[in-house]
Amino acid sequence: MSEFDIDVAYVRRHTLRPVLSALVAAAALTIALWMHGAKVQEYAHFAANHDAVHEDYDALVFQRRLVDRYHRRYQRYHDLGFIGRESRLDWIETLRTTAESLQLPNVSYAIEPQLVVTPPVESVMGADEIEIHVSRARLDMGLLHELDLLRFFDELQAAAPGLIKVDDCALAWLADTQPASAIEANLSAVCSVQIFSVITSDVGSEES
Amino acid sequence: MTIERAFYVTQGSLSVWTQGQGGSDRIAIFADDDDGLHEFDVYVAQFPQQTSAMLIDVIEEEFALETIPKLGPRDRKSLIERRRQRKYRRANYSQSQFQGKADHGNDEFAVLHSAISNHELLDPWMQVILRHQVPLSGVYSVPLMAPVVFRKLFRTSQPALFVAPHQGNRLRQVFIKDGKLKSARLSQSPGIDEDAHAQFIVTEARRSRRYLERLRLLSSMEMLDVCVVADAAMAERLEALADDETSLQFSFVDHETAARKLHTQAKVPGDRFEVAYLAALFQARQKNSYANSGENRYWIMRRMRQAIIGVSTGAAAVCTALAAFYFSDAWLLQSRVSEMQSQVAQLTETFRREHEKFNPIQAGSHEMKLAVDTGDYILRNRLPVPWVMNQLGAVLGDYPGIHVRELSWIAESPPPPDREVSRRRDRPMPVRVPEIISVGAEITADIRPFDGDMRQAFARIDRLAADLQDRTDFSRAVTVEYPLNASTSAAVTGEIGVASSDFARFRIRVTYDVAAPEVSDERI
Repeated sequence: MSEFDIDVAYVRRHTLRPVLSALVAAAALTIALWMHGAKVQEYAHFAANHDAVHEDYDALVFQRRLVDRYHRRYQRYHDLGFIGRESRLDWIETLRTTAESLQLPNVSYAIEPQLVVTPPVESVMGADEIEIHVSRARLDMGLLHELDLLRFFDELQAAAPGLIKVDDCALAWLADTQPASAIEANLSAVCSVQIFSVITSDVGSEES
Repeated sequence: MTIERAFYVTQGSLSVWTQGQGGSDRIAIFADDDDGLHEFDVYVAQFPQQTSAMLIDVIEEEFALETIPKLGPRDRKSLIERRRQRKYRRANYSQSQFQGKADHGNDEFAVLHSAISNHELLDPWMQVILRHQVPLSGVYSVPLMAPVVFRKLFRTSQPALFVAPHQGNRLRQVFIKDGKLKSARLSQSPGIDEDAHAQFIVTEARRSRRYLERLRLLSSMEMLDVCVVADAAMAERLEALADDETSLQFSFVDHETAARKLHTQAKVPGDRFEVAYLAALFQARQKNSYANSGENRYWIMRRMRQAIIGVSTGAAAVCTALAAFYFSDAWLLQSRVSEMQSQVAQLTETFRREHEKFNPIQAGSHEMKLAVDTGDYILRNRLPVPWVMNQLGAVLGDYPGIHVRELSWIAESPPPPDREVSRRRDRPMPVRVPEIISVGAEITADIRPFDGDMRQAFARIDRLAADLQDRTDFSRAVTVEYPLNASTSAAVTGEIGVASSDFARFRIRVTYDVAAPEVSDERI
C-alpha cells in the first residue's frame, strides 16, 4: 500500500448511521446484559427460596404425618402424667389415697433422687429437645389379699403422675391361719418400681 | 468492491468504459488536449464516486529484466525498490515484479521492472481524477495484464509472443516465458483489413525474436511460439507466410473464441483486442499496478469507509441479535420468577394454614414421636405383675394342699455395659432403661399337712413343677429346693419316731424368656 495522509473527513462520510446503529445496538446489548444478569440473580434467589419453601413444606407434611400418628398416644401419655414433671407431692398423696381406698394396713415408701435417663429409642431429630427422668422407689406394703397388689398398682398408675415400671416384687404370706382382725395384714409385699417422666417443649411452654 | 468504470488511456486519448448488459461499453472518449481534458473534468465531476480503474495501453512503457541474489523478504523488497528507483528515477509510474528463480542462475532471482516512461501522458488525467476524489483501484497496463489473459487463451509451455491488434492500427506484442511477462511492445501497424497486415505480423515477430535473442531473453535454439489473435482468414495467410519459418511456430485464436474463453459477454472487435483486457479488468482486480504514489488513495480510503460501515453494521447486527437473545432470556426468567413467586406465595399460605393447625400442640412432631416411643419402650420392658400372678394362680389353685409362703418375681435384663466414670462426681451419669430378656419367679411353698412321706412329697413337688412348665407360658420350671436334700453329695440328718414338722417346704423357680416385645398396656 502506498503511503499517504488519510483524509478523515472522506473516510467518515456516510459512516454516521452505521456507527450510530452499532453504538445503539451496543447500548441495547449492555442494557440487555445488565437486565439478564439481574434476572439471573433474581431467578437464583427465588429458586433457592422456592426450594427452601418446598423443603419446609415437605418437612411440614412429614411432621403432619408424625403428628397424625403420634398425637393421640402422646395425649394419653400426657394425661397419664408420663409427659410432664414428676411431682413427689402428687405421688405421696396418691400413695396415701390409694392405700386408704384399698384399706391397706400399711404402706411405706422410699423414693431415691431423680436421675436422667438416656433415651432408650433413637431419633434422627428432637432427641435433645426432650428430657427423660426416672425416680427409683421401693414400696413396702401390708396386704389383706394378694389381689390388693394388682389393684394397688392399677390405681397408682391411674392416679399418680408418671409411668410406673415394676422391676421386681416379693410377696410373703405372714400367717398360716386367718388374722386376728380384719385390718391386720395377711401378706407383705416389697416391690421395686421406677417412675418415669418426660419433659418436652410442650411441658416447658405450659409452665411458662 | 467492484469496479464500475474503467479509464482506457492510449497515446492520444482517454476513453471511459463501463460494464453493461452486453459487455464492456465505451461511454465517452476524451482527446489528449485541453478541450478533451476539460470535458473529462466536467464528466468526472458528474460521477466522482464511481469506483474506477485505469488501463494504460501506450508505446512508452519500458521493461527491464534483471536478477537479484537470494535475500530475505525485507532485504529483497528494499533492494528491488532501490534498483527500480535507480532505473526509473524520473518515472512517476513504475513497478517491479518478483518472478522467482532466474533461468541461468542457481541462487539468482528474476525481477521485472517496468515503467511508463512518459508520465506526461497520464498526469493530466490523473490530476483530474484525484481532484474529484475518484476511488481509483489502480493504474494497470495491458502488458501487465497480458499473462493472465494469455493463460486463458493459449496453452503452451514454450516461450510465447502474444500478438493482438489494438486500437485499430496498432499491434501489441507481449513476450511471455514460463507464464511470466518478460517484455512487451506496441507498434504502429496497418489495419487488419489490409493485405500487408499478415506480412507485418510475421516481420514484427521475426524482429521481436531477434530483439529477444539480443537481450538474451530467448536463445537461438529455442522455438518461439507466436500466439496471434486473428480470424480464420488471417490465420491462413499467416501460416502461408510462415511456412518456411524454423524458429517461429504460429498458433491462433479468433476473437469470438477469445471472448468466450475470457468469459466476457463483450463483443471483441477484430482490431481492438483491448476490449478483452477491459472485460478482464471488470471481472477481477489485477495484481500489478503502477499506482504506487497514492493514486489509489481514495480507493483505499473508500475501502476503509466501507470496512467501517461493514464492521459497524455487522457489530450492530450481532449486538442486536445478542440483545434480542438476552432480552428474551430475561423475559423468560422473569416469567419463571413470576411463576415461582406465585408458587411460593401459595406454598407459604398453605404452610401458614397448616402451621396454624399445629398451634395448640407446642411439642414438635419429633419430640412427640420420641416421647411416645420411649413410653412404649418402657411399657414393653416392665414386669407384668398381673400376668405373673394369673399364670401362677391358675396352676396353684389345683394344689389345695400346697400353701405359698413367698412369691417373688423379677424382670431380668442383660448386664449393663461398663459404666463410664463421670469426671464431675457431683453430676450423675444418665441411666439406661434396660431391656427385659426374661421374667423369673420364685415360689416358696409348704405342703401342709405333711405326713412325713418324703417320696410322696417329692412326687407332688415334681408334678407341680411339671404343671407349671406345661400349663403356663413359663418355659422352664425347676425345683431349686426340696424338703429334704437327697443328693449324695450332701449331708443329711434326721430323727425317726420323733414328732416331725407338720409341713414340708420347697422352692420352685420358673422362667419366662421374652421372645418378642408384645406386652402392651391396654390403657395406652
